Amino acid sequence: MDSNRRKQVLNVIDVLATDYLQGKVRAIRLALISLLAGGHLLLEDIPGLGKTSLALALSGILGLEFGRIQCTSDLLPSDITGLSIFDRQQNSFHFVKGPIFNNLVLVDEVNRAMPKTQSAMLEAMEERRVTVEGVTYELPEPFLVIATQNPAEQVGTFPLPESQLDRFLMTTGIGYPPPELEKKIIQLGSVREELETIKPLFSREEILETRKLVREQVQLGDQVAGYIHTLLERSREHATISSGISTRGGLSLASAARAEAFLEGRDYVIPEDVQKIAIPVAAHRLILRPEHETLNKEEVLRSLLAEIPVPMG
Amino acid sequence: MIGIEPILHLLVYLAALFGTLPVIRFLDSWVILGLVLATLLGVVGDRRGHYLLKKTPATLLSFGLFGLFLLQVSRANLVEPLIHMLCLLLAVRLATEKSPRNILQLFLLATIILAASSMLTLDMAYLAYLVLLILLVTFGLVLLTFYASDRQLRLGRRDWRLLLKVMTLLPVGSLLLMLVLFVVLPRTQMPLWNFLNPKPTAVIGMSDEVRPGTVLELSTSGRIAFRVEVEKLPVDSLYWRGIVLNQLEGQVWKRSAQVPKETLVAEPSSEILLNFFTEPKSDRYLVTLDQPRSVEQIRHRQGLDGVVTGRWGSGRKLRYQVRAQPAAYSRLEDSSELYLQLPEKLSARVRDVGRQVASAGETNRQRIDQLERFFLQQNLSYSARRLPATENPVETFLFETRRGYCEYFASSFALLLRLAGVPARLVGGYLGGDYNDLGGYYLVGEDLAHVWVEALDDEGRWLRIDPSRLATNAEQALLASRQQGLPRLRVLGDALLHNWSRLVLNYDLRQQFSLIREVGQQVRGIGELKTVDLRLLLWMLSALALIAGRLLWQRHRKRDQLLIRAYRKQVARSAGLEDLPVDLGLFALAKQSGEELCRRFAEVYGRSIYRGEALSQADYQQLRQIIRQLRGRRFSLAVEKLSRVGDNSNSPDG
Repeated sequence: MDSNRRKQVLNVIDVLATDYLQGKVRAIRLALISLLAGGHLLLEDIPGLGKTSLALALSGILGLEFGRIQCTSDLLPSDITGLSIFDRQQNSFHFVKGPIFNNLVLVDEVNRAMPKTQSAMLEAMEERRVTVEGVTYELPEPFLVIATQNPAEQVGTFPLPESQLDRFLMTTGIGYPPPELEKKIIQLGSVREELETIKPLFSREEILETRKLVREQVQLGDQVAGYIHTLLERSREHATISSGISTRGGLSLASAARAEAFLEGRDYVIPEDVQKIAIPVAAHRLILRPEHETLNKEEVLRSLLAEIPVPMG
Repeated sequence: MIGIEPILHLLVYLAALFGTLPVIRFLDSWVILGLVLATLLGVVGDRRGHYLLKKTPATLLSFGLFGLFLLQVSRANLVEPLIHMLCLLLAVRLATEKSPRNILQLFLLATIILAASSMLTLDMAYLAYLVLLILLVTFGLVLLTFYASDRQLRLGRRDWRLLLKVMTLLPVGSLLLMLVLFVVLPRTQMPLWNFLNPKPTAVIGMSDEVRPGTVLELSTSGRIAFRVEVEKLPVDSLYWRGIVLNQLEGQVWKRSAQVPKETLVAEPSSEILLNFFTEPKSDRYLVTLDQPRSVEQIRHRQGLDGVVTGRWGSGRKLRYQVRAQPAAYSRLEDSSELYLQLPEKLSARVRDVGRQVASAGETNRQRIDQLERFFLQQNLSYSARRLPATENPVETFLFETRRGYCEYFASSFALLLRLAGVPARLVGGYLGGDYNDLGGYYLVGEDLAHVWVEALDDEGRWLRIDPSRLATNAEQALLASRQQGLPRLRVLGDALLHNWSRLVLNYDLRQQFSLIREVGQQVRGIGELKTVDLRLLLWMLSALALIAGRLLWQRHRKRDQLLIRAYRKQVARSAGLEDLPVDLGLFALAKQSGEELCRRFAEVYGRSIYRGEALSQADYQQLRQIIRQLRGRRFSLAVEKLSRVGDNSNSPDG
């Protein structure tokens, strides 16, 4: 187990959380888990809580190329993927890459885009490649999408269907900063400019290497696999849930738990890792029965977790 | 943390104690005093760190003692001076500094003294001392290796426990090996060190002659005469036959070796096999059961009248086998002249009784009956105390005191029979015995020595008649005391003693051979199995192996389950909770409690189960230890927070 890599990642979290994005430890940590697990992150919260700052800071500190897509209802798929433009001098078409061809892509207010655009983007996220006019282009590695959506605003939006939500590894809110911190932020002003000056602490290669480390070195034993499976089964049987966590959801739980174990400095996954990441990873995947729709999915999942005994040999 | 040094010193003193204890009653008092003084000096020296007896004087003293030993020693007197010298050398070493070299010498000396003690005595306690000393010396030697490399070494409790385990394994192994060697090593015909054993003090046996009136009180010595391994027999047949007295000279019954021919009329259905184990004895008669048919496993000569004599080294315990037939009888084939011979001088009253008996009838049978009636009429009583000394014991016994023991009864009865013309003789031996049902043998003491009469009937057969039974108080005085039964504890002790001497002390070539023969027969029995059986056996063996493997695996799993259950129970108790929430994992629990022990438990146990590695024995012990340590601890678990484990908003990192 390479503890240097782990320290590096923890250092990133630490620097971001103390110097730039106070009070957002959890979101930062989850973003990094997503990055290490090779998934995407959906931030669900009202505007003005620092979603964009988070994405900017991450791209800065990780030394990743950053692209941003601001979704509107007239956004076309080609605005994301890019399009071929005729070059008169060369007398041929050449492909201009869209903003999705970056390592870290911030998709702002994803629920404002049309379903057609949404599905094009989500497909690109899943497949990690884009096909335009018959030519397939690979997306760069690592590839992390941080999408945001505003749950409160309903007018003129196209909420992501559950099947699409399943493609995000995690969904989380950011939440208001603690009062003391918020007062300080008000006093000292936004950090948006400072974000421009963040020095990268990680290189692209190092991120890829760390990912490989997480995938290959962190062991997930029978007991924990059994635990995850029990969680899937119970979610499918649960009285308030019409369709539970999918197999992909199980895979996501496993890979996120691996990343969490890595951050904890262990080379094996324990049930507590699964418990920790279960809410952000699995809650958004649950589809509640119509009569229970008003329930909070996170609370449902939490009560589910509380019922499942931790395997202990 | 306990240092090695004090423990090692303790072992040294204990080894010295157990080495010398078996010989202590053979030691002169000044040697014992020397040992005690040396021990005291040694202990004080250990405390203060400097010793009164320095190295050079100690060496000189040792040489001096050796010289003293050389002066005392002679061929006849070898063992005791040797043991004295060894004990004194031990005393010197006890008083000097306990360097590793000296400690080694001390252990060696203690062992040699114990070994030498076997030349003086080999009782059962020897085994106990041997086992103890082996334990102590093995422990001591293991510790000594540590001590030699670091004198200040101190070990924690866990290390001690581990060490103790290893140290116990060693002597247990060597004791088992000793047992095997004891059984297997070739033996001499006689117990190995018997020749060194001190000669036993003179032992009373059956007397060659019966002389009523000379011994006025029979003393009860409580000595054991012999033990007989046999199933339980009817009380009436417990007449242990020893010697036959056929010649009457004056008042004294003696044995004449010239015996007329007689043959045993066998009764094979009543044959019994008896194994006799006698204590050392000074006479040369072998005791058998009435009527003996043959004697085996000892060199002997069987007389015509059923008396068995032999020659053996004095002071040996004897062991022999007898085939006896209680229902058989002996028939006189020759003239009965010897059995009718009378002394010249006889009192008139006695002669009168003889005549009276003779006139009762023509046949011997009638005369015997008449004499028995006469004995009953006389109101004789059985007594072994305060008998008067007299010139004419038969007359005094029959007509005046009317008290006496078996010799009075038997000799008067036999004399009167001869007077009446019925051939008669005295038989000396033992009557009765206590059956030890634990060991399956009769214990017969010297107290049970007895004399009875054999008379010839009209067909020429010898009849056993016990005149003592004609006493008015025969039931209480004669019979009751001979089968009173021993207290349970003595039965147990005696059975142990018997087996010790039978299985260990007297373990010789013959027994070894029979053991090997038995084992050989059993092995040959296995070889005769058919191939089908072999295949079946193979199948059964593999099935057994499979079951054993599964059981072992399950036990392993079960062990882990018991462990985790114990742990959770203990944590719940320490936290003052009824039960722990099911969704509370090991690591979360450790974090919640903030207890270092819980953290260690989670790490060790969690690593094992979540990585799929089996728990090693050392880890298992460590976890058990943690659970024990948790017993005294109290901490709190915030139960309301437990359900929010999934929320990590407040933890910057792990």
